[in-house]
Amino acid sequence: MAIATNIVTGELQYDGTFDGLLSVVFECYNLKLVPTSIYQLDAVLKDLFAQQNPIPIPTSKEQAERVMDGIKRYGGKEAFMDIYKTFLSEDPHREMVIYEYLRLLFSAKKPINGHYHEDAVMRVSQLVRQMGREIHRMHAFVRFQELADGLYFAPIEPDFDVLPLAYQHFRDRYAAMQWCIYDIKRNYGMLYDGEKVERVVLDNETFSSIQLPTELLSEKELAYQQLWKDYFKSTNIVERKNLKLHLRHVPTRYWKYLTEKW
Amino acid sequence: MNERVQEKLKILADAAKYDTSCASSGSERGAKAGGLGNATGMGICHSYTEDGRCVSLLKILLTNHCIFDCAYCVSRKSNDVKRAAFTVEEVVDLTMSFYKRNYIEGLFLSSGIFKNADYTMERLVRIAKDLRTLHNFNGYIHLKLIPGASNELVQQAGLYADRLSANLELPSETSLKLIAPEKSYAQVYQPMNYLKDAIADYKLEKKHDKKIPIFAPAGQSTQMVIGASPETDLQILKLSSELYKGQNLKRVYYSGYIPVSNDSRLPALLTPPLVRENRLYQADWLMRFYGFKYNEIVDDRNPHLDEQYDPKLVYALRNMHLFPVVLQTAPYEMILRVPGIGVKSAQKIVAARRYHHLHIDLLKKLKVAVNRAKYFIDIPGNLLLRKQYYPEMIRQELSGGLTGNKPEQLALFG
Repeated sequence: MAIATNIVTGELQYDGTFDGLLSVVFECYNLKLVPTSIYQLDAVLKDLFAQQNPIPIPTSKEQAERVMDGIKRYGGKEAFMDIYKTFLSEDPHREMVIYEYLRLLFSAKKPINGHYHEDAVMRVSQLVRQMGREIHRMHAFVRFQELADGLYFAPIEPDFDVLPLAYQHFRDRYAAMQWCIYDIKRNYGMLYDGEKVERVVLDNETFSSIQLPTELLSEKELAYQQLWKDYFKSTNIVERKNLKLHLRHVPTRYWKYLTEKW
Repeated sequence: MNERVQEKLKILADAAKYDTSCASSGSERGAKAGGLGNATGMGICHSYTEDGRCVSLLKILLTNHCIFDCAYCVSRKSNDVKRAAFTVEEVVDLTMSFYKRNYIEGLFLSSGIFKNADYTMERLVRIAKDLRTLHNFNGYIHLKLIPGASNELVQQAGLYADRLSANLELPSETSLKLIAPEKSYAQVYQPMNYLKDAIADYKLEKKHDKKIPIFAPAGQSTQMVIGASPETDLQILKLSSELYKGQNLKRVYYSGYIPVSNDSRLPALLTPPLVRENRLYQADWLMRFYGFKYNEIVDDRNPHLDEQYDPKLVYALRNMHLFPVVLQTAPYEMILRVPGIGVKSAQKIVAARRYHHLHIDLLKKLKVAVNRAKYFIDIPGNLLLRKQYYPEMIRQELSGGLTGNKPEQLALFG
């Protein structure tokens, strides 16, 4: 630890949760710490240049909430959502970007989202856009398959951890249905029982691919999938074929979601 | 699901595909308790066909039986194609089942005209009504207004649909008369005008009574076929401009004519005029989002849009006296007119310049297409800015640099 007057610079560590990161920010102000890096618990080992003993900062719900209040007070709800999205982007430098952004916000004491000349502000705006695009793609490309018991099930594996932000749209839209969207990459899902959404973890291997095994599906499911494929083929205008444009809109890595491409 | 429905779906989706409207945005139909679906804010494209067009709605005809014989239309009476007709229940079931699987935002229902206009319109309205009232469906519904349909049915359609559209079909009445002798502009304008007034009335009432049911919340659109008749782009864009201003339309769609007939009244095209269609959409965008008037884009001396360069660039080249724009101080409206700067970038420029001096690197970060904009902006760090540019110099430098016009690299060896 380099000690200059009473300010401590060094590497910090947190438990990988959003509350944990906000607790880090709280302690930076509280204890006058200036982080050079902020690591998740198990991320330290992956970084060759990391010190092997960063300062662990315990997660405190109360501290996190005070930081949240501060963000909302100075930056509004928009700034808070931007920070939350940045966190969920899983960008390898997200912790320091968020720390820098909040430092700027707390010293300006008003929204800073126009300050694109600041790297942290620019980076947040880029990550927010990137998240927005992925959320939008999930709204568009998620495909529900009806299971035998009537539950509509959609496995996904998004590039970033967008489910906590994407599910609200489905709750509004499919309020009269029971559904589950499951992130098979991060192994958790959101289950809606007709009243509320709950975070669930399934340890069932049968839900580990996007195309569900036929024996799980309702009687009519395959017939509707076939009708949709037929429709997709018929609505195409062969004379206007433009695969370049097609691929720009639906990059091949999203094809796995699309019933019409199976 | 029986094979009959499968067969019908193939025929009636195929026949509906030439209607290019795909919008599912601009409505304000919120979710209801116990209901299925909503249609708020921006629409969602759930897929894209291999022609690169968005798939947002289940776009089908109720039937392709038709008493009319419009030369440009694949379902014309004299054409030898398989005919089919859905029942009301079949359309409802397909819509609900596709919607629940998140395939679509809703239904776009059109139809060939069987018996007469009202008979057809009544069935379209009944499907929308059943979806809304029997099945509590709150997704997006776009209904086609059948030319000549009665005001009562148009009024009902407005109660259940989000958007309605009556197609002008061709950019002038003379051409319509020639190619579709049974149709007239009057028949198309009649439901369009009725609906325009009905929507205006609704908005007025809404101010006093928040609880009255919503009425055609996503407004009206229309479509015309491009390249099947001799109108210039000036005539087309003038007409569009009038439709946006006078008829309060939300969208005008341009559909490049795809040869579906050997009729001698139609041109013998080998390929659809896709570049022209694209340029018209660009010009349309300039009118709707960039504050351009139609006669700033085309005029009597230049009645056609340039095929090689996009209309915004052409405008700038024709009006070099308005450039370079000083980004640090210029009004937003003028920044929008710089080629290479879109609406989002223009907004960000206005936000960023309040706090900081703009420079070329920041513009790049704000996603400005600096390669194009550099001829038209005055900003520190822009080494390419000269005292004066001659339009021809810019044309030459940019030629080959535009999408769709790149000269193909020739292969050296077979």
